[in-house]
Amino acid sequence: MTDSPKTKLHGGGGSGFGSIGEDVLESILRRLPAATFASAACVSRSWHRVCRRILSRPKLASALSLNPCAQNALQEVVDKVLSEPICPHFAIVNVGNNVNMTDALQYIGRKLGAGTPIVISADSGIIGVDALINQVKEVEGGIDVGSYNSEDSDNAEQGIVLTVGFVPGLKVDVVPLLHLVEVNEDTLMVDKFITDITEYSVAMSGCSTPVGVIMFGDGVAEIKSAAEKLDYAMPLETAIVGDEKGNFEYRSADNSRYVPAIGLQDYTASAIALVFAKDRHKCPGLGDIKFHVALSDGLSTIGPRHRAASVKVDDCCTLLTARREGQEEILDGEGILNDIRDELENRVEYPDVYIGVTKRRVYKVGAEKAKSMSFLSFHGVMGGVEYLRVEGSGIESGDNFQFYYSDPAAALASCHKVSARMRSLNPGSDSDCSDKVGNIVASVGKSWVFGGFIFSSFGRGESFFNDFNVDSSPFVENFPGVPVAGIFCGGEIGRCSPSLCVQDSEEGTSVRRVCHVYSTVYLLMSYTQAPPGAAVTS
Amino acid sequence: MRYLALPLLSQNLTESTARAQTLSLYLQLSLQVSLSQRNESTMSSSSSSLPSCPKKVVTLKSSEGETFEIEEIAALQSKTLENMIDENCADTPIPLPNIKGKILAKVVEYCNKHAEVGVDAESLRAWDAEFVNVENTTVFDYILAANFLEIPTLLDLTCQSVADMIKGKTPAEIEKTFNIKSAFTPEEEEQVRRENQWAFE
Repeated sequence: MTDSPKTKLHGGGGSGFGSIGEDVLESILRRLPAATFASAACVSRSWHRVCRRILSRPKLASALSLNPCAQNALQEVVDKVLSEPICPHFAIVNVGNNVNMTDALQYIGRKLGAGTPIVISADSGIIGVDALINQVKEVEGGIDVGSYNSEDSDNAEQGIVLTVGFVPGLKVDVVPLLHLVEVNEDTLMVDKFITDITEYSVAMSGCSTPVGVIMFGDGVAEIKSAAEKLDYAMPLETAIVGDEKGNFEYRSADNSRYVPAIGLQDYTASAIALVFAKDRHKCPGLGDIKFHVALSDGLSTIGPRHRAASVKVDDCCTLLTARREGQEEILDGEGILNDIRDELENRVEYPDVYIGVTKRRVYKVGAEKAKSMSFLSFHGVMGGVEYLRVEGSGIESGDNFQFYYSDPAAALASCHKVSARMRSLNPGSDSDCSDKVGNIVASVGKSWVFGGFIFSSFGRGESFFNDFNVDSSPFVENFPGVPVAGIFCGGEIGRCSPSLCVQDSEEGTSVRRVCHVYSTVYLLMSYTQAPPGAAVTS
Repeated sequence: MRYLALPLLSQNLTESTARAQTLSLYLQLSLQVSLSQRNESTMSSSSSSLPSCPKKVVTLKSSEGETFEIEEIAALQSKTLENMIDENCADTPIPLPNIKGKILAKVVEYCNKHAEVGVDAESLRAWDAEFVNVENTTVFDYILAANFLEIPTLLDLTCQSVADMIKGKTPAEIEKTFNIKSAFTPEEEEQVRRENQWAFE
């Protein structure tokens, strides 16, 4: 056991409480809600010691509320998340479209203190543990990014998910991708974004690679290129996940750090990155937090490969003509679509169709040497007669592309593969590590998953699979009871960790994929204990 | 062991009432049998399984020397006492020099109540709430006793009660309530405050 003073049992009396030993004190203090727990830690050396023991490991607390009144829902999730000891290092709030984000941000900001970085995003649906019934729920609602259906928005279940994380050993802050609004052009300051992230990491940990980055993009600007550059700039150990297209607001722990004080120009953030960097002042004896990413794919290929011939940008769309691979004839929109029409018509459900374009571009961040990389990115097919009309931009003549369609069967199979891979992260026997604070038997390299975050395509969910909670099932099956939250969004950002990769890359490993559609990206946060030799300060 | 409450048999009873009373008798009889079976496994000395044998009690002695009797069934809620009973040390009065008579009496009452059969959860909860509705110092004494005697339910109840006492208080208020002197140096105090800054804004 520990060195704490054993229960002194002298005969009761007025100062009875003073004779309560630290082990009993622990039984009392672990029942406190977070705010009172913080007070308790400031009472005396003994109380502080006990509190440090109770809250020594990383913890994620998350709650979902479907209360139709937004203010009440907000209160419910805050109360639930702060009902146990936790010290907030960051917070992510996901809401439906009925919530005033600015007000919500203020409310949560007050509850969590000025130094806590907070991100709030509104998407097409939320995933979380219902505060009342303690079960994981997937709730799709709000406005579809793809289409507006007035029926849906009336009885769409709105809701709020709040996730608060305690991550000792890491430092967290929000880095914005600034959008310089000038008279003639809009510039996304992507290079500055990458440099800011790197500099934050260096300042916190002494090394330029953060542990993980969670991105939120506004979908208006082309976030894909920022995500691709981030993928290029960060080594594989850095986890990258996120939501391409949503509405967001944020509060940095230190706002002055990133927004330039110079000039009178208007800066808005087109995207933000919640950056997790190692803390160079981490206590010895504290283990390591690692991020792992898995991806469940939802698309299957169809038809022959094509090569873009002429490319025209029209508003937010691109108009293409193309050749079939290896052939000379240039096809117009009709011709290109004919290649897949027959095959598509045989399907029972009308799937969503995309083209996956392989873009070979030169990437360069800052003063580094330029490098050529290939990325696969998806553009929704809108139709076309004279030209093939697809969403988005960034396609160039000569780019190869192939058609993809949303495939529930493939998605389900992919989910099962992901689940099998996650099993390898599961320590297996002892899933109850979090309670036995003083009594745990430390085995070398013992690690467990303490929280998760899911980014799922709005196209998936109940209607896609004809079944409940499919996307969250790999996580819930493997880590029952572990806090998890997530969103349904319009474009998922993520790249697999080597340990959790299920992709058979047909194109070889040279083509990278960081922006996806119809997929589900899973972020797992795990904690690995320090080897027993390390000194433990308590 | 409980003595059977023999129902009054009267000529004027209706058949259904007689049936109910017979059933009640039957239930108490089977309860006695199961209780005595349990006793037989925990006691090495023989005890008949007939309802007329005397109930097995354990005697506890408080710090002032006062003795209290507690039925063995109730005493089993204390892991400490259970171990003693198992090892046959419970035949003579057990001295508890750390627990005053006033507190020991209440602890016995708690164990007796929680050993009762047929109490519904709702009323037990209400009883528990009343039990800890006492002065702080008394609750602290309950905690010490429950900790020493290893009574998990009582420890749970009292710890939660103290936690509820602490809820919402500032550090200064906590120190006052519990008569604790904060021994932090000014630097330590500042660092500790900074660590927990978020809750004080």
